[in-house]
Amino acid sequence: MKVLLEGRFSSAEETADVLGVSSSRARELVSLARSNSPYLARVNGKRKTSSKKRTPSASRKRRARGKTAKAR
Amino acid sequence: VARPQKPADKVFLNIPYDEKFKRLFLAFIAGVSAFGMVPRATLEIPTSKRRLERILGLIGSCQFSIHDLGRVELDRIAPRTPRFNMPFELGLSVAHEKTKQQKHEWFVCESKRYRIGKSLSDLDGTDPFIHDGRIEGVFRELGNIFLRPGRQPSVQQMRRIYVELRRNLPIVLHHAGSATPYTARVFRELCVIASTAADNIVI
Repeated sequence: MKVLLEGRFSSAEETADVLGVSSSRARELVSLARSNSPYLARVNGKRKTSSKKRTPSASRKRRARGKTAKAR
Repeated sequence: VARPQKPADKVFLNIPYDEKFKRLFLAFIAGVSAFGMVPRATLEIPTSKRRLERILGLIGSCQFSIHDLGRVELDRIAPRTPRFNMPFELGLSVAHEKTKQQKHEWFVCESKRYRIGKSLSDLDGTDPFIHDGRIEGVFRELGNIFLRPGRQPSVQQMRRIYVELRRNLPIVLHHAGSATPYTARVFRELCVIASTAADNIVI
């Protein structure tokens, strides 16, 4: 039988606090983990993704060809 | 009104600290962190006369303990001896569960099926979790032990957290001036990195 976990999902800050890692070092480790990884990279607190949907410019909308593209 | 959740669960990791076990050591940290729990280990305890009391205190502070008895063979250094620390700490956990009021559940891992029946027959009736000495086996068995509704990590997600740990290990070792991950400082810092990765990967 599996064990149902009732505690909250630990954040990096909580883990650091439990293990006695100083908050400044914890911040360094969090940024190290994020800067070193394509999965965890963040810009201005938001997750960085390579497939960001861009809104087409007005001139690009005018030049759009086809019904679907014009409808956007 | 949403009920405030309990603090994160802590898991006492009773595992061998040797070079051959390094990959599984990282796998246990990655896997436990993937479930949103905080790994704890005797590595955190400085060597001193009061070590045994501190081990008991550490076990008592954890809701769960995982005991890996996968490396019970004789070591290479003369005089050749088996490792007694892991079975001893398993015994402490069992005693803690039976005598204390606090909730504590313990689990036994092995790398070889049926071996525990020979090496520790007192545990007859307890099913060990067999990880085959492989990191995927560790992830699979952690998934068989724990259930987190709504945020259950997959083996692939645990593997990604493990990759993040491997990627950052040389930097952490360099910063700590250590050649081995089996030090208190390196262990703690790896746990923080694993927790960061888990919080982002297991959604």
